[in-house]
Amino acid sequence: MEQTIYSLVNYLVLFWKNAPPVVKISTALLLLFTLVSILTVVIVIFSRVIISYKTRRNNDITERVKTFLSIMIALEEEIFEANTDESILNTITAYLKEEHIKIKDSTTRQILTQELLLIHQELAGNTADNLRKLFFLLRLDKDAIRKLRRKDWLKKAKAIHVLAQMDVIEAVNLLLPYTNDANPHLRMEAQMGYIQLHKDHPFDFLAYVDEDISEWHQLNLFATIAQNKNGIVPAFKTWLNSKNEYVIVFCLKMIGHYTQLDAISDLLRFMQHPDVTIRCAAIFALQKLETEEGVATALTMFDTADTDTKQAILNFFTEIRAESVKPFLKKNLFNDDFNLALTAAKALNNYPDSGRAFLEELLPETDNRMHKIIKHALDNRI
Amino acid sequence: MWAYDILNNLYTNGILYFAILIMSSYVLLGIYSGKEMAVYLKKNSYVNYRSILVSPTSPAISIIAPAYNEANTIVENVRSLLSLHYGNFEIIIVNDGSKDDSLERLIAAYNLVEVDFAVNEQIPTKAVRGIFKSTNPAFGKLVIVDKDNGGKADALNVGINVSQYALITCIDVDCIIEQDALLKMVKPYLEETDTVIATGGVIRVANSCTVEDGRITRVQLPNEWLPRFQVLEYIRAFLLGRMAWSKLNGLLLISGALGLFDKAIVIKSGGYNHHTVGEDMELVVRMRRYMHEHKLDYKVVYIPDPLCWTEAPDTTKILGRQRNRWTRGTAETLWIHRAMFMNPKYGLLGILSVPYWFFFEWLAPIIELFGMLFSILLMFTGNLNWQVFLILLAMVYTFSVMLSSIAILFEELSYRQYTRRGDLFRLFMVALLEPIIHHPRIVYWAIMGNIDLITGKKNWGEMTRTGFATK
Repeated sequence: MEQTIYSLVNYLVLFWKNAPPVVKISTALLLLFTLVSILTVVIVIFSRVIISYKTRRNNDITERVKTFLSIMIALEEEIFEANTDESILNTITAYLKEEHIKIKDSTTRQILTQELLLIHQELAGNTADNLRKLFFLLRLDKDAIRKLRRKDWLKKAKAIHVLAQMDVIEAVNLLLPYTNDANPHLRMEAQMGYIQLHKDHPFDFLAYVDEDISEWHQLNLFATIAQNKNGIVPAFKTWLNSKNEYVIVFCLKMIGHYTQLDAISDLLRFMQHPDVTIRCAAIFALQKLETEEGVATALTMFDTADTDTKQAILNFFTEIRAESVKPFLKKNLFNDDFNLALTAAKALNNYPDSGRAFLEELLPETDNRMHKIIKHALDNRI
Repeated sequence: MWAYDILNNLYTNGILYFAILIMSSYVLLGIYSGKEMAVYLKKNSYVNYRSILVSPTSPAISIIAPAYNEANTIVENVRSLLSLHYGNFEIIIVNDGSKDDSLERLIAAYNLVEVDFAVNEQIPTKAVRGIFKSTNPAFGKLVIVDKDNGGKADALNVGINVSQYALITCIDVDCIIEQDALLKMVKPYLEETDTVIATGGVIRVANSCTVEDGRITRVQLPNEWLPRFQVLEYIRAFLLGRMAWSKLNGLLLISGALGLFDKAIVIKSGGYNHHTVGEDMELVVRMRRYMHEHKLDYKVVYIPDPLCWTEAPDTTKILGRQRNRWTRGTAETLWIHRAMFMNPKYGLLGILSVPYWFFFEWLAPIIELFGMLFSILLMFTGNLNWQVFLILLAMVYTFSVMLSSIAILFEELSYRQYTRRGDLFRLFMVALLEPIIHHPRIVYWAIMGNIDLITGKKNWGEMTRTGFATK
């Protein structure tokens, strides 16, 4: 046996010594690739075993937590009402023991927080208040606040989400520094949390935020405002003087959505802003307000405007149906730009009697292109 | 004799160095992809897509699906598209002069009537015969276009001309799109501060998966070997490479099965090219070229989420046609845009992406073939250095197995689609067998594709599908 091993080693040493560089390099790579392949297979199998174990364990904890929360809801009068915090905590601890829930375990606390959040979102009134009380009594708020000090932005963002959902008002000042954080995800979560938690001035951060507010970010802020229980919708014109153009665009959108008519004079100012996005957002806000105030400015600026602004102006005119605009629309039926001509035709068709009649009268006299455009505008099924 | 020596030397050393170059590039891309995927998964681990779904300010999307002789499945496929989770979208089905009764079936199923739709012919196309809308408000999002046959690219161009929104999604009508695909694909447009001109997602193999009401309800590794090989190919291509190219902003291909584009840039670039069979890749390259030539900042973003499920060819004949077409498409695109090759004017695109596709995607099978032919020649002349030959072969084989294993690891750590007992074992078996059984065929089809290209073959090659197993 020893002899065989010795000759094999000898053979390999000789092979390596006499082999050309090509063989040496290839052999080394071959061994490396084989080793990495085996290692990868081991990691895959190992990770599947670990993930399966964790999933089973978490599912088991989740089931027990759900049962515990169901008991809390079913017996809420008995447990929560007319009792001191200490006695409530004693009762809760007894139920936790009964369900074999180890409340000091970090995974269990995390699952309990998640489940509480889910149920709390769906409920209102006394039950929601009692669940919130349970959240505080189990000191789950302190877990979230502790996570705010972690380095990982995701942990911070998730903690902010928990604090905002469970209405931990005293945490509001802790969120403020993150509302202008360099990390866009953390910044967005912090701003959303701030809107939910600050009961008096939830939009303070708009005054000093100098980081980007992407469209995705704006959508999320909008969703938070729309769902906010304290119902504060501020006068968004307050921040129209911001140096941050993202803030201006966001405020213009909100002015339009919440029909804040007292901002019209500001909208007229922004109609001629050098930035096309701001310009179009201002015109779109005027369209949402269905006001005729911007008509004169729009008519003046139309000829020299870029295509996007022209389109925004024509869309605006589609909504307002002002008589003063009709000659302009008739002229633009013959615009070289197909989309602008079609929008003008649609805008004219919006005038219930005169506009539609005009288009119908014009129809026999038009060329093929115009004929198609007018027929399209007149077809209400499209 | 000296020529023979040079050739022999080139053979032994050249193949090794070329292999090392390719392998290094795959490893680097893999590492970069892994890192980027971890970032993506972390970033999107708690995203609430509901805010896009319910927001009145979320962007509207036109979905364009060309259809040719799809009568058996078209009604169901449209129903599936209508149920996509998104607030503001229209679906444009372009009947590309089908010879069957696709249009009649659509008219009957969706109460369609012809409307006076004015088409803005921004891209020249074959004639539009008619445009139909439903009288039923429940199908108000549906637009059916009937046109003369002109091929997939032409049908997509008609769809672009008809579309009314600024973002367009081009899809294969016979694919299964995940319900939240649009929400995920539109997010980069909203999130990035640079202009995003295109987004693509991962395409997965749906063979043997269970389909209910146009949705994948149970993911399963295909029962047959041929689609199984393709599962591994898809995982490797999508998870190991594209994420890295996306981060480098050098992605050249967004699959024709599902892609979201900025319509204005598509139109300015001239729309889909109907002179190539690789119209999906050609469009992305042309859009990128347009942006570079006009000195505009932009991004092409790739999403590693599985968004679309396709039926992979399950016969060698059909797969051969598909791969032949892919080769021709790649070669045609590289030829059309040859001015970009190694051209620093196009930045990373010119000095890295295009050369990568040229050397490692188009040229690699040709070099592989010549290597094999030369080995056979040496074998017959008795000059083959068996030691070098076998070691090189074994090295390339183990690398291929390693790369596939890493791809399986990525899949396991990210989306874990194949969770059945035994799936992992089967996938690793595929990884072991693929270089021996499947890869030589891929090389053969690539070579045939090049021959067809040289001999002037232009057609797509019929792609017969058996259809999804539905419950």
